[in-house]
Amino acid sequence: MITTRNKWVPYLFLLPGVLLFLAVGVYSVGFSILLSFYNWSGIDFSTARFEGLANFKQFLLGDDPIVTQNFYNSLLHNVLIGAAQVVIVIPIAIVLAFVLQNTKMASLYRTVYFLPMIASGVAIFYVWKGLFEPTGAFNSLFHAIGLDFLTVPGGMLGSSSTSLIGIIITSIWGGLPGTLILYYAGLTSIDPTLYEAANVDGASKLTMITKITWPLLKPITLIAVIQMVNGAFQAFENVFIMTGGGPSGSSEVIGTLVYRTAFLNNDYGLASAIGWISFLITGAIAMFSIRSFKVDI
Amino acid sequence: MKRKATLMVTMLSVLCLFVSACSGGQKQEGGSSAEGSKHLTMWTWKVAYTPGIEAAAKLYEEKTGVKVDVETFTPDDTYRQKFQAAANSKNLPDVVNWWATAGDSIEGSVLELSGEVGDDVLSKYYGTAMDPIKVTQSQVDSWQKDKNATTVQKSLKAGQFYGLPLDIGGFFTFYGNKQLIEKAGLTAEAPKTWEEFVTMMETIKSKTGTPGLVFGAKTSDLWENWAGSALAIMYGGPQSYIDLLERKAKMSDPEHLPVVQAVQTLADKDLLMPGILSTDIDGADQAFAAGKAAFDLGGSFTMSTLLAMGMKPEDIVTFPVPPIDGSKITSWTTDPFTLTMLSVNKDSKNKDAALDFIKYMTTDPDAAVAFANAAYTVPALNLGDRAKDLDPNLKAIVDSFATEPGPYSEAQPAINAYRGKNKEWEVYAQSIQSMIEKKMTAEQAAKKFDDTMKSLQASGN
Repeated sequence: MITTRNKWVPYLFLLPGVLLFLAVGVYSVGFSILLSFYNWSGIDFSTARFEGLANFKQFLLGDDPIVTQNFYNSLLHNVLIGAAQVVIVIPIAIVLAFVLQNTKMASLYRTVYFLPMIASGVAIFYVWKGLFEPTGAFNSLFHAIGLDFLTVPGGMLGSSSTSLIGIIITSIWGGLPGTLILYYAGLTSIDPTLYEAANVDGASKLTMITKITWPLLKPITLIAVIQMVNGAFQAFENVFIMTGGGPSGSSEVIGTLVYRTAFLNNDYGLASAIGWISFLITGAIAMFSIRSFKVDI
Repeated sequence: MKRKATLMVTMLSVLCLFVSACSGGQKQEGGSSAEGSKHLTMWTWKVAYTPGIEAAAKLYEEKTGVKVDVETFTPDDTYRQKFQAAANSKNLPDVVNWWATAGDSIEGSVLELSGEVGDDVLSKYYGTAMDPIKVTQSQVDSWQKDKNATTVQKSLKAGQFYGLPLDIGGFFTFYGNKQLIEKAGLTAEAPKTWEEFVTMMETIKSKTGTPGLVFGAKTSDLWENWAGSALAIMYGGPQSYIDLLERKAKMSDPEHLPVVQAVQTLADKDLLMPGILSTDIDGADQAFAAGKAAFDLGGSFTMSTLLAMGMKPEDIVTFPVPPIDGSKITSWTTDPFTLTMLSVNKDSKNKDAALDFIKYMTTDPDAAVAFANAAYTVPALNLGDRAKDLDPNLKAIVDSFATEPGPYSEAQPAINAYRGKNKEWEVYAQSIQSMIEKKMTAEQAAKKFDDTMKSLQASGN
């Protein structure tokens, strides 16, 4: 029982968590914001030089044409990855969720579908890299089934025309399980009496899907879209391992650009500024998605 | 009252635990031990160097009683981040192995040595060994003018240096598969010109079906760093390349365009290994060792990798980048330059011992030989007669090095000052990848370089 004498005890127990959050969460985020206004090489903050908005002007307003070009190029690639994920993953995830819900071998399929979630990204992306090589599985398969026009002689990742496609394929593969879980949970939570009532009223299967299933899955779809867009803007691991952003910058994303700027060019201020703008863009897209779907979450 | 006191003690304990968990602690991660001068700590990122450093450190311990503990953190990026984190928390080890460079922003954390190390030490190294380490006037001028230069770079003065050279090497080396060359009916000898080299690769491809060349083209600037600059320096002379770096010339000028065309020739004639643009440096060496390409582009350090991959020295023919027909310099002597250096943590409690150790490691012939043979790299120390104690393959590499500063040394200060800073080179590196894909001609790549240079100059970059 909480009395006036010990009412502050619960706060005492919260204190370690709050302090941890302040030290790790707020401090690092705050420092990163601060950093975006400085020129700093990464060692000894006393050597940092305040630059105001110069870092932002460098890549947003074209003060440095190359950095600007790299930023917008990377941003476009992130948008393409996100758009492709949303357009391709959502229909596939819905279909697979239906299959999972209605098949007797659900546990087997679940294991197969959820494999990307539990497998080590680094190891898996090296495997993908091998599949995309000139003599890898994709080219061999296309050649074997007579679809030679689909083969890429230099390998899918070795051509600036197809490297981003390779990245998108792996992003779709990686993004599917999470979305599938959401839809599977969404489908199983729909009250079956709704379908029974619709059936009694003579509704067709299509009507049931469009009038019952889809509206009830709308909040799930919104979460899936936000999750995928967020994931697309955080893309790094697959790009870094498979292409390094190349060839000729054809698969560069914000993540690899930030990495290169901070850790290879030692420009932590510019890297932080790019990171924050990327965060704001992701937030804006999430807000836009919420408004578009007109749902409360 | 008693209950309040208990709660207060609990709260304080939680706070103490939290603070202690967050603190770096008193014991430095890589720092000195309580034994003080009897114990030094050192970091490197070169896995292959660790046995060499340990071999030299053992000799040092026998001589002085000071033990050196070596820790290795790899790969490169991880090591850089480890160094930065440790430097910020004042947890650096006594000695640090670092890339031989100046202005890499470690200068705030390591000891400036120009007042500590005199010519008696510096004269023992190869003539050009200090070049990339010592800050030059041209670098100082460049950083002062550069609005994006860091505060550390702007604070540096000409003549300062923050490390002593550990090992030297050279890029600009082609490795050839002797068996494949001979299978194509050719003699496994170094080609005299670039054109002869291209013909060799064409013959090998037509006779054996094996692609001519592989290199780590996934790293966009590798071609320029390891071959292109040598072709350019030979074709127009070092000053011509310096002019291009200093933006006093254009890539489309007749003195530079043939160098760009050399890459286009490789692509047009399909001489490059398929998938080369997704091949990194290690992947290229592996492909060459597996017989997937007749030639591999590398440096003096590549031989050890190839031998580790199972190749035998007698299976390999090596030669420097051959000159393009009509070049002003008709043969390339591999001008060695310093690869890595040793620096002393400026906050080390064992500064004197650490400085003594890096002097010993870089100038004592026994230490240098022990290091070189175990690390399979050429020491920066001019070994003179003691070179005979090197592993025979290393000795062969040493013999191939120029003994006097050559054309690359002449261009190197400008390369160090401008090629990383001037972003037209970043664009050019990507254009080379486009040429390899046959999506760009040499003329287009040169024009793009020139246009970028102009636009960067106009925007004050």
